[in-house]
Amino acid sequence: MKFFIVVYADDLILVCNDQNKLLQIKEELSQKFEMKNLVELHFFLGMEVERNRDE
Amino acid sequence: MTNNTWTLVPLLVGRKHVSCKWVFKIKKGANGEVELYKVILVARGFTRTYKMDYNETFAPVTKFTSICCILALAALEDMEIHQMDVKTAFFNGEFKGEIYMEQPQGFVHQGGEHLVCKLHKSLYGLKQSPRAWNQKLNVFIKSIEFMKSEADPSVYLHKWEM
Repeated sequence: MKFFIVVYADDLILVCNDQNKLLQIKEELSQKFEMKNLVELHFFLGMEVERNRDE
Repeated sequence: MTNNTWTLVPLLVGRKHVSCKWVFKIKKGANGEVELYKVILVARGFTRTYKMDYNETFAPVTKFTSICCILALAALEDMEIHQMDVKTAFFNGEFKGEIYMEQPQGFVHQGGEHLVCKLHKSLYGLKQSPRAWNQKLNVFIKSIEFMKSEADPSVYLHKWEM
């Protein structure tokens, strides 16, 4: 399993190849800190992220 | 304060305190429409002097190449990418040292006008705030079995893959 957390001040990006583990870690983080859960990454540091996962 | 941001104490002789102010902001949406009115209390940390009033202020910031690498890897291996943002992140940081601030305008304690706020949590505007928050987050992320990357201190990897 691979799991990365990138911290940029108050923004976090979580990258994982196991969805259940990802949700579990998100849950743990939300319990500790008050968070806005943004689900899929769209905007980060002025960068727009778009994915095409069908290819 | 109810959320334990500070307690009111008399200022000891020889101690200094920072001033503070209310900042009003209008947050606009992508189309320029008013989305929300915000007000935050900021401490005027720029009136402090390095080494005299504060010491350690370093907090890591992600290298842009780290983000690119991880996103590329995620795309390659079809991993899930989620984003979270911490509300009022700085209020989570805790101070070990002593920092005093004047009472905010409009919220001066009646009969206690001479008292100052001894801060327990970080506020926007203080030099120490980003570090205090980062350390708090660091301790927590480590407690859920992650390790800090040696190449970039703002990237954490799960222990199992080390």
